[in-house]
Amino acid sequence: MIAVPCELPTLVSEAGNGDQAAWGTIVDRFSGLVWSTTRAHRLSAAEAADAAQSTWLRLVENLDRIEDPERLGAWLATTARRECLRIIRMGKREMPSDEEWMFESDSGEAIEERLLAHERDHALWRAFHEIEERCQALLQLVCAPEPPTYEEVAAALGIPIGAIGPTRARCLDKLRRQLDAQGADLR
Amino acid sequence: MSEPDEQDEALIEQLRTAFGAEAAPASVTEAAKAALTWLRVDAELAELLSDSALDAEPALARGQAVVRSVSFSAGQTVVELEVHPDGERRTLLGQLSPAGARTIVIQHADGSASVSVQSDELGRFRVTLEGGGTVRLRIADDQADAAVETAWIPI
Repeated sequence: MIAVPCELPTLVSEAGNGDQAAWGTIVDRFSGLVWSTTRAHRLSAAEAADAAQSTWLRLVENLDRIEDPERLGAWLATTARRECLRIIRMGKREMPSDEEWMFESDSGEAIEERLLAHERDHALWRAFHEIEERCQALLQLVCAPEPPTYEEVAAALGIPIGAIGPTRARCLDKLRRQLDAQGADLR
Repeated sequence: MSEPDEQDEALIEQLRTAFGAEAAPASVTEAAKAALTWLRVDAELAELLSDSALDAEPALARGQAVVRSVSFSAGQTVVELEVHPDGERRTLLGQLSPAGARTIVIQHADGSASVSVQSDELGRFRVTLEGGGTVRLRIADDQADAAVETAWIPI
């Protein structure tokens, strides 16, 4: 991808004028954040896609009124979280169980393949699903391909920024202990 | 023995590999890029005033038949909506105020065909959609009022 000058305030303003290139740059930059936020809320793949699309529509709707474009990531994460909660509360479907959540989606299958190929990863995955959901959600965000800022993580999970560092350390510790309990050796 | 911080970073790195760097599916990113076509050009935004699905009462979400009610406002214009699911179908019961006969178009974010309905003199309307999804209402302009588009909602 060509590096273009992409100051967020400029991009937001251009997108607000209908500039598809500017909009595309915004989507490319934050698509991973929005997606991992929806996945952190344990939605099915279809629901996660709905929540992500609702989030982007909400941004289109509000392009001319984003007050602080520099913090667009946090705005998107907050919005994505809200859309996830709405979809969950609409109660259209039962919450998927862990297994369905893991395997029903395309990306779940892709993940599964990779995991089966690597026993070490597999052990990690098992341990990951043994720790509490709050920790899973946080670690999933922190380990996103393009790691969100702490501010964005805080917005995505609805917890204070100050709590993220300690929570992250605590969750990693739990994961480590879970791995030990399974006798897995990651070194 | 490495420092705890280093251990943490190493574990994060391993998790990242294990997750297979789960990026958004291409279809999701494509849909996001296409969303700009819904940019408002000639209408005022009717913002979400309330949505019972955003009221955090989890008890209501489980098993009980509670009518989903949503309202929007743009200046003087208020749209109140009830969503009644029936299998895949969704019946929308609406009330427009100020009351009046207006043309209301229900637009689907996925690009499927829009559905039009006319409100009566009292501002009431009723329309049944074949499926759910993410929709918004566009209240067409008339002699007195400019067009209004509601925020998008999942139904």
